[in-house]
Amino acid sequence: MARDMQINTDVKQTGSDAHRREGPLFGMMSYLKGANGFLQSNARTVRWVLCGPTTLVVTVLLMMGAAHWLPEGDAKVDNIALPVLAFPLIWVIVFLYALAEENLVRGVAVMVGLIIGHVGMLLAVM
Amino acid sequence: MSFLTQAKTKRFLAVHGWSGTLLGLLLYVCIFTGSIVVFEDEIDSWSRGQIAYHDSIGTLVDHKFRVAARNVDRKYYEEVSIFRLADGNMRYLFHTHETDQETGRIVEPIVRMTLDSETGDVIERWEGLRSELPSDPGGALRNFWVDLHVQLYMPNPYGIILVGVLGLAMMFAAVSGILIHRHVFRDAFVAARSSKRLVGARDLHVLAGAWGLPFAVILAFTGAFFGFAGNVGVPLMSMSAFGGDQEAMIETIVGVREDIDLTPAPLAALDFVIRDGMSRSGAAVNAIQITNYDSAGAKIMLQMDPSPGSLAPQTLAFDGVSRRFEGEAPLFGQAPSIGSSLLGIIGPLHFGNFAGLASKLVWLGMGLAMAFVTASGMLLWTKRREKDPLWRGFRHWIVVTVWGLPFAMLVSAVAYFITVPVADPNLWTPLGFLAGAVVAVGLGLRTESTEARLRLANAALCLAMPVLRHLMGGTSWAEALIGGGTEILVIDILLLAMGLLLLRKARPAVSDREIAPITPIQEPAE
Amino acid sequence: MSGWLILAAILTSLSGLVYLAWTDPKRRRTHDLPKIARRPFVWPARIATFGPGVYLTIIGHWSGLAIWAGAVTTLGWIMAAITPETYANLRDDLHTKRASGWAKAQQMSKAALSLSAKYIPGRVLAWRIDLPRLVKAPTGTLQPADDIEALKARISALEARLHRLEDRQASDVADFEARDRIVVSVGENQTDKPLNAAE
Repeated sequence: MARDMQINTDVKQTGSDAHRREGPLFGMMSYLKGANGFLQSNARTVRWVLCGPTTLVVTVLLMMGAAHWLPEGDAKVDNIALPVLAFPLIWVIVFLYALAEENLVRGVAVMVGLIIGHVGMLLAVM
Repeated sequence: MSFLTQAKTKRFLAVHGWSGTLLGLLLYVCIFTGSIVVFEDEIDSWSRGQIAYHDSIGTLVDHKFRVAARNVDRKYYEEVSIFRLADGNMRYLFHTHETDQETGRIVEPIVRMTLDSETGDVIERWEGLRSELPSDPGGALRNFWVDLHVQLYMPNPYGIILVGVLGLAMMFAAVSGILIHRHVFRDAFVAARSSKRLVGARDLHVLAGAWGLPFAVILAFTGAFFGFAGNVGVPLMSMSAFGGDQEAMIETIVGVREDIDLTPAPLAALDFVIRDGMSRSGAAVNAIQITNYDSAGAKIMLQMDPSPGSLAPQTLAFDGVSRRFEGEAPLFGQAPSIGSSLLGIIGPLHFGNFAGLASKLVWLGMGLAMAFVTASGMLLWTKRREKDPLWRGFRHWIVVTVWGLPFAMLVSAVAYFITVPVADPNLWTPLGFLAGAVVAVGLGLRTESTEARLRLANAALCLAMPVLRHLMGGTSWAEALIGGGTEILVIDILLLAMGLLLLRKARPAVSDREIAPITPIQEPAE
Repeated sequence: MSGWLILAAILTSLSGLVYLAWTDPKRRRTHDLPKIARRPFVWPARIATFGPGVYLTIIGHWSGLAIWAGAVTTLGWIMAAITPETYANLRDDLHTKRASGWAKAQQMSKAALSLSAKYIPGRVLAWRIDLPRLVKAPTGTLQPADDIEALKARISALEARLHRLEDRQASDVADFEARDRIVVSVGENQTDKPLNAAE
């Protein structure tokens, strides 16, 4: 124990040391660091995947999901017409985000989150 | 004002440039053909050589329609369409829906009649299924050029989806162009410097792109919408909103009339209905749809031209027996809505046909400006890399495409005029385009003076076209003037003017030539 | 009525754009024109440019708004794309042609008068034309004195154009290389810093 304490006194007490004592959180941080490392080392491929098929999938899901949260309007067709109308605009916005996002981890997280969220919503309502 | 960091600018510039270069040739074809087919109705009149009526459906259709309808079986009264053709004759389409006994699929039997505009006599009658309707040889040129724009003459749905992708690429190029070029508005009046140098090429592209930005976005957005809405958007939305229940979707969007009273009852006087519609909207009637003609449950829908000052056309609904006005029928759904209103202006904003010749001319100008942006962007990208022989060669073929496309379109018109009297122009017009493309490639095989050769070829065809049209039996200028067929005259004159302009020897700008500095005359030493 | 309104809107906007283009500092600097010290009508020109569009929006004339926007952007682009040198050359050509055209017209009218003088009595002609103004060369043909003036004007115009081009030639190359370095450096520089305002 004394040896541990001695070792600990050599080590600066930082936040990461606090995480070292909290297992699951520490595990998540190291996982994220590993993921970040993987993404950064394959940045170009990740960017291609984000801007290509992922953008298309997210756009389609956003369009389909909008039918369930947009107001129907008087004719009960606004929630169908407006997403179809906005499809090109949605694609451009998602594509710009995928291209501009510097933090690849965050970019992947946002896109995957959107996909999972909308798939879940569509499965629940359809 | 800096929106982007250096790394982002590099990424945006790479995607802007590479997507523009790889898709640029197809995009140029789409934009250039689109600019030309803004005048599709005028081109149709010109190619047919027939003088068209400029007034849409007039107010004296009732009697002729009833006489013609007496010779049609009642089962075809389910839906009737009435519209005027480009040559001024009236077209009546009587159709119904049946289930095919053998295949079980729903088919649409049709009776198609064409009435002479002056005498009202039936000059053509055809009966059969809609899917077997014979193609119209007279409209081959217009149909081919429109098809070239709408789906690059590729099979449905691949062509139209590809054009939709081009629309998305153009939208991104427009938006990223603003973000990349930080001073796009401050440079709005900076004309190009020496056009032979790279900075001049960049100036040309940036200036055209900056001024054309709003409409580039609008045209790209609406074009992408048309590319994806029918084949992708609506099916996916029906799956999402209605769980795949097509009947529920049709009932919500189109509406299904139940318990239609089919008791025979005379239709209200169409002429009064037309006059009522014209006075309500202040516009002319484009087409008439009648459902359940000659029944108590008949409905009359008037498709009007856009009212003065508005963009979107209206559809007015009337009771078919009492003539009572039932309101404006929305494009989408069964009641007016924001979605329907927005969908209604997509078409006019893309086609530019909401205010006659004025809007069409403006759309032509903008379309050609967009074509210039596309071509100048590709030339800039390849000029930056001209030390590489591959890029130099690609640059050469960009020039061939830019000048070869109008040449091939003109050759397709030549093929049309030659084959209309003797063969099927629906076959030969596209083949003419192909032949023109091959000739353009042949003219481009020698790298020197390619542009001059292609320009000369275009000039020759432009000058020859009015002569050829006249020789093949088309309407003469005298007949066109007397009959009011101004589009025939205008298109011929435009072709001649374009031919003369292209023929005029292009003097290179003095600034582009290498100018040796003036050396003072040295007096010989004594 | 509607057509005239849209045309008036387009012309108003174009007049504003003409002033803004003519006095634009960057355009003048790029093409080696002297800077205009004071631009008193910039804001009126901007109002003239955008005002018609605002008016069309307020009155709800959507088709007019679309036509106005399209026409102004297309014509504005064409106007901005023509370089100041081209405008100057066109002006010089016009002056030269006008001068030589006037000289030619005078020459033709004098030739016609001298021809008619053979057939019309001098007493009749005298009160119409100033006969001493007819310049006769020793060979009996008319000397194109005014043509010489037109030629001189043309030579002056060409010399001025040549001097302008020579001055631009030297600055062109340096400017191009400087600009190209900025774009090339974007590709080479991997750091995540905002772009410097190099202009």
